[in-house]
Amino acid sequence: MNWHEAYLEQARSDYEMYLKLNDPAIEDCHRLHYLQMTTEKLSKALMLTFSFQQAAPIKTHKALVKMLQVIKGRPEIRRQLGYSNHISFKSYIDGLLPFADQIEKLAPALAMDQQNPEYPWCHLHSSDVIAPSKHSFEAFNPKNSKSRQFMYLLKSLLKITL
Amino acid sequence: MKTIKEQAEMLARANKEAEPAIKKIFWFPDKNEIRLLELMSDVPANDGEEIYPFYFKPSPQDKITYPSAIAMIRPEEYEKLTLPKDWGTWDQAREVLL
Repeated sequence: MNWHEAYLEQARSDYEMYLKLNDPAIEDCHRLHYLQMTTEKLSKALMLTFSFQQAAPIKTHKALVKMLQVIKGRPEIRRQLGYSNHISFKSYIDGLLPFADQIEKLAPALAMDQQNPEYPWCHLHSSDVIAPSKHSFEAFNPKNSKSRQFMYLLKSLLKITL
Repeated sequence: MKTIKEQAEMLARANKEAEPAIKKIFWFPDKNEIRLLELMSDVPANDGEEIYPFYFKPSPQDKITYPSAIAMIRPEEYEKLTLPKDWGTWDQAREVLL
């Protein structure tokens, strides 16, 4: 497989792990770690050419939001996701950009020493040190509607031909 | 079949129609790949110096018979970042009339 395909394959595998970790008995941080990795690898898959040559490393974690903004202009993706016109597709994607931005910022490099699913951080106001395993990450509750809508989009993007 | 230039212009206009907030689109001529750089204020600031395009396969059903590479940056980042490998220099950018 080429680099694009390999990243896509890994994104799909990370997503399968996310699903396995979506269990109330498991701390949110582990599920979110895999969610952040899935979205980053999916986005980076699109930043890689369909070449077998050694890919230069993509030195950014800021990929998901830009990827979603770029795909608004892709008729083949819009069509595969079931949208017949660009106006409704834009509205759909735009509605999920703030949530995507929150997921993107879960990458420790972008979390600016604040909430992230991997490493402890210091609370801004109280100076308490917080372990991700003890943090609730309420904004990412799988039961809230934005979370559900985003997960539907993610699942769809992982299924279609990119 | 339209030329690569015609397809680049068609894709640029379609992207602008899909996202009216795009301010300008530049085409970087190449004989094998449609290369577009789009300027929009509502994108995250670029992380680092390099511009990373997103790559797409041809879509003949949409009259796009060449692969395409689409990059999106903020207007103030224009000419300040490093173009993707093989895109040449900023002087080679051709603004697409939208």
